[in-house]
Amino acid sequence: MPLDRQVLPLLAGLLVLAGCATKPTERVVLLPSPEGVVGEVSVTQIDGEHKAVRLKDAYATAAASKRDVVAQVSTRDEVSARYGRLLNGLPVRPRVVTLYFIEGKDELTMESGKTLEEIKALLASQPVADITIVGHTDTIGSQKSNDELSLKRAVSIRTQLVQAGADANRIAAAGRGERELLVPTADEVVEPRNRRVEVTIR
Amino acid sequence: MKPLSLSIFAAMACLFTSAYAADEAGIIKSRQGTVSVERQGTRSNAELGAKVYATDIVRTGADGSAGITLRDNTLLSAGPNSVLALEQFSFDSTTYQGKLNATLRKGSLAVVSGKLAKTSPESVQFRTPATILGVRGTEFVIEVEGMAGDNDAP
Repeated sequence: MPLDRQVLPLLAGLLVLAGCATKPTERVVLLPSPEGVVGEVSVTQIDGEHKAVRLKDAYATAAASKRDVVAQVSTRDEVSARYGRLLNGLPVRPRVVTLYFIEGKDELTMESGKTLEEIKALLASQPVADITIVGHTDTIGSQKSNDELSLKRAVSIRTQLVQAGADANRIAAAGRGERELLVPTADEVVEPRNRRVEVTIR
Repeated sequence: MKPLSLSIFAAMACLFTSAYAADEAGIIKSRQGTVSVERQGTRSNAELGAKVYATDIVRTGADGSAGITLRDNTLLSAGPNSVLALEQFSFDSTTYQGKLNATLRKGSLAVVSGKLAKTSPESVQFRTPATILGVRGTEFVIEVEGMAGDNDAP
């Protein structure tokens, strides 16, 4: 009994010391995407035994030091409290918007006209957006005239975005004619869904 | 002899510049406070919209943060007091093949992986002082408690 009384505090002291030595200095937390998709991250020690922790579930966490790496679980609330600002600092996710045109013209359909206005509003809050505009046509007309029309469509959208304040040095426009049909058709077929430009904003 | 060596020099210069341009990794899309980029030994203030290249080191101050979009659509957000070394980056926009190696020496980093991690996960690697991270199409946060070093301030 007296021996225990002496040894226990000593043991406790040693445990505390050991705890200090392996106090994690690094954390990795796996997050779900906005759509709820969760990927996978493996966290492997560089030194020592190359111990590895595999993160597969949302908010799974690896706590690591030079000596050890252990699996933990964080909660959504902990993540937003600790990393909310960091996550808000992520650049806007790249996206593609498709605009449709009236047959044979570089004039937008009424609905796509509204979408263009939405793009303009969005760009106002994204000062260094890089934009690629690729124009397409349906299969009515010759390949040459469709190359010209697709480019004209892309350039027309580019002009309108620049007029709305987008940086001209950051917008590229190109025409692909009838080479990249959204809806595959035979030649000389009217297809409104092929008369489009794809605007990629990053 | 002279014209020949000149043309060799010109060819090499061309090679060098094109290789350097090909290593363009991304663009600083947002920034707050003090943010610097170290390129080939020289540190300068990182402007909004500036290009970031492979082998650049991005540093943020106590008041700093930076958002970077890489060419393969990888998104990065570095929090205050961070040192992020972009060791390797290449990306072929046709085949989606390439390589991304980056180390967070200290601070915090949020990552949304891009096309590289989707097409060839083995080519994407993030490191911290103690660990190596393998990434399969995903989002995550890394935090590294910093030990103060002379070289840390942006």
